[in-house]
Amino acid sequence: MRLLVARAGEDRFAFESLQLVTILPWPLETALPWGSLHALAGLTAEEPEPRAVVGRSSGGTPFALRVPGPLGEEDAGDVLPVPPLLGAPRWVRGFILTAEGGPALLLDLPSLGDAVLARTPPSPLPEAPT
Amino acid sequence: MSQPSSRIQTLLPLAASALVAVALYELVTIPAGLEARRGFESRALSVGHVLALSLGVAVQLDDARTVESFLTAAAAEPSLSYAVVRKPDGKALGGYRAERAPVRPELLGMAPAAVEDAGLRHLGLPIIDGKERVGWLQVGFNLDELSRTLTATRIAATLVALVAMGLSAALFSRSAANRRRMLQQIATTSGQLRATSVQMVSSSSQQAAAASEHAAAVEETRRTMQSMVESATRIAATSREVLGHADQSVMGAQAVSQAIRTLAGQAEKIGDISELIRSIADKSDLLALNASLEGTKAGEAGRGFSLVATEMRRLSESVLGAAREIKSLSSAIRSASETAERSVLEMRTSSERTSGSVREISRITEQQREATEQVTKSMNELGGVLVETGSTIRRTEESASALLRLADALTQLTAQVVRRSAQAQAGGAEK
Repeated sequence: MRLLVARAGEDRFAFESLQLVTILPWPLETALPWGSLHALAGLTAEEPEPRAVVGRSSGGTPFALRVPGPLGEEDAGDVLPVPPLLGAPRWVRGFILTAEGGPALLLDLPSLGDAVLARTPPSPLPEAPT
Repeated sequence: MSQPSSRIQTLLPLAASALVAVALYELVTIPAGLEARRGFESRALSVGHVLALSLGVAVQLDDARTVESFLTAAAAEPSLSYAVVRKPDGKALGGYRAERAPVRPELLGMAPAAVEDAGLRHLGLPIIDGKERVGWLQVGFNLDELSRTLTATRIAATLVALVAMGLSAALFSRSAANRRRMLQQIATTSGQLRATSVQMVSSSSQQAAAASEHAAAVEETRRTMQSMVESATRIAATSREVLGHADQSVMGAQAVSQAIRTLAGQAEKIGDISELIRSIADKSDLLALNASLEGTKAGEAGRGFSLVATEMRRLSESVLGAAREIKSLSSAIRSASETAERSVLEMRTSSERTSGSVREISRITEQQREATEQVTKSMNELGGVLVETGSTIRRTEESASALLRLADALTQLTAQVVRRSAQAQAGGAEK
């Protein structure tokens, strides 16, 4: 399975390439609802060298997720399940072991899109950083 | 009547010799004058008394020629403005510039009298022959001249003349008492003359020693001043050299500052270019990432495409890393340039301050050199004056020594006259 890996603080997050529509530069030039990976990870600082990962919700609505750069690519084997006791949200499919040897949470983009759309209605274009 | 006159004529050469001495000593000037105002009164009175005592016989004999001779001899005293001899009836027997004598009846009494007016001191003295008052002497002294010429030499010269006159007058005085009084006066005067001469010799020797010390001090000062002029000249030359270096430093600092500004500008351009490169590499990375994504979506058919895209991404990341490094370096260069420019600016300011200080040093040194040269010139002139003064003092010393010898001779002569007079008086008494 081909994965795109982003690092947020100490944690790593993976996206299945086949779930991605495209990757856009930040700030967005198209009006899309968007969310922040740092916000999901509980980090207050804005993502460095940000990029926008574009996917679709389960209803097919496109959305963007701002992720920190640079992004890595790798092929992963089995997706390991998250123990139920940990109470992971629905948009976490499981975790994988990266080529470096550490774990990375594999995010389910359609579920994440649903969550983003539920939290943030379609918003105007974000402001360019000054 | 003719016998005393012939004795006077015989003794006149002695008076003439004394007058030659007067003329000789009047040529010599001693720089340090005696206290004028305090001394001239007794001087005038002394001259007047000796003159009045000397004139007794000549007035008694109505010897106008002798009177004229005495008054002319008394004119050796430079402050003497006039002298006139009057008979008891007021008629003038003889005079020296007698037309200057004012009519002052209060001066023609039995006792000596003095009044002052119009810058003159007028004396009226009775002329006594024996116990008889035979006339009056009226003399006037110029106060300014009396003060100005009151030097030891002039006093001594006048005393020489008066001693000579007194001796000649004493020899033919008819009154024994008068003769004794005159001889006592002459002996006193001779003593004063000798004391003055000794004082002059001592004073001249001290002045000669002082002049010699002054000359040595002036020479030492002159050498020091010359050394200072040379030092000032060297300092001025060194200052000019330092000024040249400082000016060159200022110009060099300006050139370095300009070069650093150019370098900073170029580093900024490099930074801009590296930013452009970074931006292109970033877009390339994004494109390669999307290409890789599309290759993955294409399945087996897109595998090769994905591999190329991945290689492109690696290249882009390398370029991004290099661009970041270039940007960091250009920022460091800009920062270093700013630091260097500040340093150069400080160096330039320092060099300009140095230039200012050196110019000030140069200006002050030049002023000092001019002032020192002026002092050296003055020292040279002073040295010449001191040499001349030393020469004058030596002449004075020689003259004073000669005067001392003359004073000794006069003292001896006076003693002889006194002795013979006493012997003659004793002989007369026996007869």
